[in-house]
Amino acid sequence: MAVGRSGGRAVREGLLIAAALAGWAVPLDAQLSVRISAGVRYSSALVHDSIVTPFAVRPALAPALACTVVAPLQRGWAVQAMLDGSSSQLVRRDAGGSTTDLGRLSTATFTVGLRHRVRARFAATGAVGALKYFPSEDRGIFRLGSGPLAGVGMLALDYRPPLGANVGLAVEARYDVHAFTTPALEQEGFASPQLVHRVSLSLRAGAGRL
Amino acid sequence: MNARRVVPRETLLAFCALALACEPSAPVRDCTGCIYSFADTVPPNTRLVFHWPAARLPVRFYADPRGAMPTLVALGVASWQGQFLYGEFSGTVVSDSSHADVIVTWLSGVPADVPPDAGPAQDACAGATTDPTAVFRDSSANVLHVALTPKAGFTDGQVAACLRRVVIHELGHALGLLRESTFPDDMMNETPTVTAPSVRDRRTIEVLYHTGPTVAPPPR
Repeated sequence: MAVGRSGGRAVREGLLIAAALAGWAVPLDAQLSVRISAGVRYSSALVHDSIVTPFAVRPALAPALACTVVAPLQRGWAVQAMLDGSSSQLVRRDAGGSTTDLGRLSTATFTVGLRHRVRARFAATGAVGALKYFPSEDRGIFRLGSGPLAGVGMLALDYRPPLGANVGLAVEARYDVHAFTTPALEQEGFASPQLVHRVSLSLRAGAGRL
Repeated sequence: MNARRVVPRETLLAFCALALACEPSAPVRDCTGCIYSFADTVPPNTRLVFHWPAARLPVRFYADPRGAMPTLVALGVASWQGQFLYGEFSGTVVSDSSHADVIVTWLSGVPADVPPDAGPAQDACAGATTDPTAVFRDSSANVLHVALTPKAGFTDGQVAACLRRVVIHELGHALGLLRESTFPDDMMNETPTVTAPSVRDRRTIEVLYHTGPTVAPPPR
């Protein structure tokens, strides 16, 4: 499998979804707003292992979609709940550079956090929640299932350009981190979970000043 | 305290500290005696290592349609496929022997398709597999053959239980485990008495599929 080609497709899919959603903003009422974002996500390796030679297993660049509900508080603060999903191929990358496709892997993440306007057009978010992996097949590292929910911590920074202010258009960078393991990896001898870092860049549309 | 400025910065610092403190780690495996030899040797010093390359996956298995053979072959393929964590091997059962990489047939009579006996393991059947290194290195053939046969003097249930073990053992040879294990609790022991590959079998075939082969099947 060519990871680069898959990554390019993920970027295109993300941009197409973002363009389709750009005009969609749903103000539920004066105190609550819904934002939709679409973009691409990079994930660090889920597994580092060495059998004869070292290799790593990680998801390819993935289109990412999220829905966020925001309720403003006082003094530029808001509370938010976000449901986020992404899906891409899981790839084993050997030390020599060869790759092996391990099937499709999807994730769903739910977080609750606080959002704060830090400058005129910038807002920062900190959130915690839970993440679940959904492999397309119960094979390999998922042969005994994907294990329980993983705790996740998330930080985000978004910028609302003057252009597109009428639909609440924003560019959002998100970073999250969680610990990854599966029952099969534990059975194999992985004593501790692997810390997985994910970064996504999204276009967001939605109502509300925060 | 000015919460507007401090909270985001502290949160960011906490995440950075967490990320730095938790580097990904490979599993710690005590591998003393955890694998057995999988390679053959042609004197004086030619080492024969065979496994199915990624370009030939999934390996296509054809099962003699008589008796319990389709079930046995599906069991054997699933047993080995389930040992791999990282997609090193996959197999599929095909219905057309002309499109198979491995053909599994009965050598003699077809035994009754009955539930396996739950008693102690009996040497109630036999199996044979063509040597992959001989087939792919020394001949123009591109198919491996596996044959199973019941032995006389045992109950149908004892033969059925034996065939379940021996089909996994023989498919292990077809996957490249060319040698027998000397450990009695391994599936690749000369006379297997276990019903599934052991941890040592798994470790061995993992290492085999991450070792550069010296013998390869012809391109499909």
